[in-house]
Amino acid sequence: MAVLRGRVKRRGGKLLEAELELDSSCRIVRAVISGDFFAYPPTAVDDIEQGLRGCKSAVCIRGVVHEAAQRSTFLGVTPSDIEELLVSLWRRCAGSKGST
Amino acid sequence: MRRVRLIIEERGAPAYWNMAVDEALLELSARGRGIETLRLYIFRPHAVTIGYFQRIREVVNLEAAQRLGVDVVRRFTGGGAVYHDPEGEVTYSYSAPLTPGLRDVARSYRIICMGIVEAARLLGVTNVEFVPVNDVVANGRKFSGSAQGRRGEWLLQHGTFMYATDLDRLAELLVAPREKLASHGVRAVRQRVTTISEVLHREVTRDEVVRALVKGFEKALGIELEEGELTEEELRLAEELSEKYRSAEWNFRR
Repeated sequence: MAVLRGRVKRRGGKLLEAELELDSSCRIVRAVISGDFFAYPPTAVDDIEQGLRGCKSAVCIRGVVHEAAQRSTFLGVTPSDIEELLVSLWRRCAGSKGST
Repeated sequence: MRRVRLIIEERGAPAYWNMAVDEALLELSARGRGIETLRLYIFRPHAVTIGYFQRIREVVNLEAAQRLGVDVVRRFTGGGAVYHDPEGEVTYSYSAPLTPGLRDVARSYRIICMGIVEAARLLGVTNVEFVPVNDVVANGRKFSGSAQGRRGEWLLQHGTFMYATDLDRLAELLVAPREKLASHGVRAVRQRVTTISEVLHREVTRDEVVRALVKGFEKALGIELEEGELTEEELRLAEELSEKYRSAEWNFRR
């Protein structure tokens, strides 16, 4: 079990932080997305966190974020920021295990 | 000119109640019973409110909050942590239907924050501007931040107006990560914020601020404010919602 954390703050944007708890096969067990950004509706972020459970590939992560982004508006961060941060965290686990 | 209800609550109320009232105003609006309203209020005792997506332990010095008797409450809106000083800050909330001009989120922040800009100008601040996403700065330093929630066809935006906030206490209570400070070109929270009294080099009073906010929002939004009160229905729903804002489950959910 590994817990990985990361944060991004773009100039003119808001702070975005993520924490992923992954099992030994780099499957996401728990995800927390936090920061001082805005999302409309805010439940879009809860949906992403729940949707990420069980993901074990970058494609899965991108799919979950993309789906939530289609029915929501973010301010201060972009769905791409969220995707990239989550994928980069997951890759830290996958890279150490030799998977992609 | 459109007439809009004005509610002034200068006596002050706890953070859980203030947040419950704002959410009640938005929720009833979403249920089709909304009244366009500008509400001006005070937090007493002093409080920190944090954004919906923030992790409480990472943005608030909870040990200091407990030692100083500062309430900490999670908002239903996003954005960052805010210190509400009863002797130095007035909070506003503006609830309104999503007219075409307010539908775009980023644009609506700018339009509503112009009420803050106009109020500061009325008090004599010359170098004041809205800085996206949600700040108003004077001489390059933040004295006001806002956050907006939306439900159905309504929005509610609330935010601060710091006229004499104890900024050392603010800096003690709020924790900002290095990346956030660096993006603003500062090393400490205290370097990024100011108050209107500090900007004008004189003691600005709450009465002046309330008057300026009323005139500022009237000018910025093209409305005429008329003093009113919360309805029984709004108070009832706020009473229900206040349980949530008093609960650890809500406030510590992240």
